[in-house]
Amino acid sequence: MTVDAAVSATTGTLIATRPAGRYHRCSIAAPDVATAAVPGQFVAVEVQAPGTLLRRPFAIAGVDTAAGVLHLVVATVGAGSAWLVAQAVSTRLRLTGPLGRGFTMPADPGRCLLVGGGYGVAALEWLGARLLAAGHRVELLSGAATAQALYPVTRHDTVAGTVVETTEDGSSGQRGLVTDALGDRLRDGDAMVYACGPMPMLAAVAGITRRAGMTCEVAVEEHMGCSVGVCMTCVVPTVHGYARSCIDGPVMDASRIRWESVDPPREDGLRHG
Amino acid sequence: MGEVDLSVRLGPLRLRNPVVTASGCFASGREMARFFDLSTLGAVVTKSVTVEPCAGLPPPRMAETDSGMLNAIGLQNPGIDTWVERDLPWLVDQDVPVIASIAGKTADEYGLLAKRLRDVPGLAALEVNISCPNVEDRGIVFACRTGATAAAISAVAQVCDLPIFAKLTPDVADITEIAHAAVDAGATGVSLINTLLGMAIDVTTRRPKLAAGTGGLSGPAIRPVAIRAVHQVRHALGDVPIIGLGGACTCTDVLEFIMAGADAVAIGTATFADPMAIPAAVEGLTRWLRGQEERAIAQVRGTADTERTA
Ligand SMILES: Cc1cc2nc3c(=O)[nH]c(=O)nc-3n(C[C@H](O)[C@H](O)[C@H](O)COP(=O)(O)OP(=O)(O)OC[C@H]3O[C@@H](n4cnc5c(N)ncnc54)[C@H](O)[C@@H]3O)c2cc1C
Ligand SMILES: Cc1cc2nc3c(=O)[nH]c(=O)nc-3n(C[C@H](O)[C@H](O)[C@H](O)COP(=O)(O)O)c2cc1C
Ligand code: FES
Repeated sequence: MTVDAAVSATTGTLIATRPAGRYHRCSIAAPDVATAAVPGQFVAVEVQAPGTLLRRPFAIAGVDTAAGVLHLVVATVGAGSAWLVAQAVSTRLRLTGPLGRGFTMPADPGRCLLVGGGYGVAALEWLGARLLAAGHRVELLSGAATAQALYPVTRHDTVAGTVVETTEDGSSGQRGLVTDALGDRLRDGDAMVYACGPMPMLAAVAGITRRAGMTCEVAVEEHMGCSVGVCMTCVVPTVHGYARSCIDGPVMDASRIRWESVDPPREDGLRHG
Repeated sequence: MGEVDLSVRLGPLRLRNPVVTASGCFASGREMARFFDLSTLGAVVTKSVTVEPCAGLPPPRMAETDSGMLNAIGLQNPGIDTWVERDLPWLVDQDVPVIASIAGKTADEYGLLAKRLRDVPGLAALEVNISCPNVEDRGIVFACRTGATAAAISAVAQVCDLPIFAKLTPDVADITEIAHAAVDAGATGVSLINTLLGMAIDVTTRRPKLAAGTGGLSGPAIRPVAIRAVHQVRHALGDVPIIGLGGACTCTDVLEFIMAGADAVAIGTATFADPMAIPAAVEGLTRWLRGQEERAIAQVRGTADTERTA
């Protein structure tokens, strides 16, 4: 069993919340969590919206280790996320983290394709910066339904050598799905693929990379109860049965997942962002 | 100000404090030991284990509801053999009493599970989950019938000398009748309550939020139902050992259960909302007791004013 001792249940302080496209970037001073985190891991944040009970999981979108600060990129979809982005600077936030398994760094320098949908690109931006710093070639593909839903990648040169943006309606970048852009780029050679975004997008990326015989890691998103491995809520069907995505994931080898059993079955790239 | 005594008796067991974990909400302890020392707990009640490995139900398995949640896990577990070999040894080595929860599809299966566990060193007791409503091929829930309750409990009692706690569902007309049947069949005590069967629908998709359709409701939303069940059984069955649970989150909630008549109190769903919920409740009990006349928490049991109950 993977049981990472670096995790803590702690209280952080919100130091800034800024808009990032249609999302919000929340920066939280939580040194224990920020110093231990790697890309792909997440935190579970207590939200105090009326009637809510469970902590909300959010991917860690970056850290400032020296300052002990971590960043989250939050899409407002319901009461909990709305509560979080509405909090004033200095609000104390109870949170658990860093949780789960992060992305694996490739052993040898090579080409890395990072495929993200919507706010999923935020965590890949951080991964990209680490990969670049470790001497890898990084291409970041960022997709969404519309220009508005694209995550605004700000510092292109420090996170990737190439950034390609796609929108389904063509309102920005290439028209089409981010998975189409991935298909185009697979032709010119071997690469390690990392993906983060909605499940239908991940399923499509998994299919493309499997057919191309490439290694692919995906960060899955399932509904979570405890976020810490004890309730069996967050399971994903794998070749070894249902695995807990909060502790055996959220980053998983795409070839381990039985995509045909992910509910509802998702074979190909559908809507996202 | 003298020192306070949090220890309680739970039938033949002596617990260092009354706060224990709820089955299915603490796995087998290892994940939670990252957050606090398990010796903080009165006891660990483990996730229900079955004879064969059980894959569980398809996701989505959980839906948050107002001050509560629905779950339909379907008793996912590795099966008794793997559990005893892989997960249990670590837990029994910790400084905390272990109460193993078992779940069967037939009375015979309960007997088989009890036989497998009776000689495992370090186990303090068994909790017999005769009330899980989530198993797909469940038929009728054991704890909805006095006859089936007696059959399951006596299958365990006949083969095993460990103390037995029968875990009951609140989804019955008269829970005291079922508690009587369990105790008459050999249960040492009862655990009250399991989840209530519920359902939630997504009005956009017009589909149930859980893949299984229905699921068990837990969390603060069910606490009044649990307090009522504990109170009824305490009054109907005299001194029977009771583990109270259902929506307990804080020290105040734990006290509510104890005043209703519980000897020990399990915290389940609250651990999902805050991994430190149990240690916080234990600390709160110590502080609370320092301000009372009683020196021992055991003296607080059943002290709620019952004169006003109809
Ligand atoms: C590992 C992980 C990482 C995540 N990272 C991010 C992130 O970086 N940024 C971000 O904005 N969100 C992220 N999410 C999703 C986020 O947890 C949910 O959007 C949030 O919990 C919704 O809470 P709410 O109270 O606002 O909405 P609710 O009222 O709880 O839900 C609103 C809608 O969102 C859906 N939803 C709720 N939880 C999830 C979930 N876990 N996965 C998919 N759909 C869900 C509900 O079904 C509902 O339709 C992540 C989820 C997981 C499991
Ligand atoms: C995710 C989840 C899994 C559960 N699994 C079990 C189980 O395996 N066996 C059991 O007897 N009860 C199980 N329960 C019920 C709890 O032990 C408890 O009776 C119920 O949740 C009410 O307490 P709470 O409100 O404190 O959670 C489970 C509850 C939840 C939320
Ligand atoms: S969310 Fe509870 S086990 Fe993963």
